[in-house]
Amino acid sequence: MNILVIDDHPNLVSITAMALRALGCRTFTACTTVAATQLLEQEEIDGIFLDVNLGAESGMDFLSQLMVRTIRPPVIMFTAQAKDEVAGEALRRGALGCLIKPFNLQDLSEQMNRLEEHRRDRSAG
Amino acid sequence: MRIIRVSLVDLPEFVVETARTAAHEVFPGAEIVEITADELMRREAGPGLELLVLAESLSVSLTPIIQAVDEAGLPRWAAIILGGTLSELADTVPPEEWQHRPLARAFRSALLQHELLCENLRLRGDLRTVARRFSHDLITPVGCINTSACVLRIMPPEETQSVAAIIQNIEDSSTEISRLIERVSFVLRASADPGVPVEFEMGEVVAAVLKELQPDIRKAGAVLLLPSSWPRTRGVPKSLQVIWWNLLSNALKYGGSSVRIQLAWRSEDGWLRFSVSDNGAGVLPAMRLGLFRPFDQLHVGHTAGLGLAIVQRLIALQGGRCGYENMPEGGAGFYFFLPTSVS
Repeated sequence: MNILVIDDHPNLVSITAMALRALGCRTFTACTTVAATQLLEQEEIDGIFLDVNLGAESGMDFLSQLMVRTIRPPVIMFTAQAKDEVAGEALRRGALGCLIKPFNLQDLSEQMNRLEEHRRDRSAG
Repeated sequence: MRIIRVSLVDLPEFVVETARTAAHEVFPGAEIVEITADELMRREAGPGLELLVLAESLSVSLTPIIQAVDEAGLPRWAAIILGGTLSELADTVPPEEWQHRPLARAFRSALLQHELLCENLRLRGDLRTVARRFSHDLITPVGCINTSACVLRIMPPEETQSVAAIIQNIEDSSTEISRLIERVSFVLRASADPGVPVEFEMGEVVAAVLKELQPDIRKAGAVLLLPSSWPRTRGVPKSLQVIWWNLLSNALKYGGSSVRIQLAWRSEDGWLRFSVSDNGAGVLPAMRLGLFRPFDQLHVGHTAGLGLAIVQRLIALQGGRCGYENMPEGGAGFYFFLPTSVS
């Protein structure tokens, strides 16, 4: 699967991408929404990991923008906040799931399974 | 020395002199001004503490005046109402107590209450910031280390480049955590115990910071323009070191490539004004308003960084103030004022 990782923290982007590659994904990374939008236009992206807090930008707002695009890859939100605070909002805005920082390979793998299932459902539908 | 201003707002003529005497007695050296409510609301906030003495019979509503807040969201001033009706807005002094001794006691009590309230709000804000923002900012580098360890565990050792990148990631994240803990601890310690201001050579503090930042200055290819001399200043040198470090680091970080950074100072209306400006892109208008978001307000939203909040707090603890200006030829300019009190 082609996965896009969006976070304003370069170290987190880099290690998450590395972990996803270890799980067999092809990864693309972006630290801003502008860079992410460009990648979405250039590459065929199957799933997105998006941080809620993108420094000066809001990941939640970007999620809403993603949800009105013609091609809408499923989105898993990253957050460092207690799950209840943001998960509900993220799901309301169309995210497929939420991943709480800090996360390990097992957590990432579970979210990847979700993305796979979603892709299968979509293909079947 | 604390700067105190007592504003007598639309007071009846016959009580003005008594109020003046009372204010002089309880706050010797305070600036005492007569002002209308309209003028008061138009006036810019000054440094130091302010006590409003208001007439109950003001032609305008007392509520927006008394409940005004400063840019940090704290009550802008202490207030006392001269009038016979009890109010929830502020303590009142009934007409039979409009003599200088009872008024003096009421003024002192109102200012003390105001200071305690502001301190309480600041402390609560600090706790909220530490609970939310600080912990939030820590979780990302902690997460990096955690995920790095997981990836290392499954990474074949022969993939030396990847292993090196992961180790670098762990090192960077550890540095980030240490720096964050150090900075936030410094602010909290300084807030709890601001330190005794001493007279010192500002040039020596700046030189120490520049030495510390030499690797970053070289890396950025930055050109620094310094004044020919620095003034002797009164303040807390350790805090000033952190302030200069933050302002210079920002200029190096956001000033763009081949940045020119100018450090300057001048005397201005009894203050010493210090500044750091660069020739970078400057700060977008939409971002300027929240630049110096106080540390105790950082728990609201996520956009503000810690650096300028730390600068704001450390300057305020020394009785100064700070701000931002666009440079005429482009670039960002950050400045701070410290009271002049060196003989």
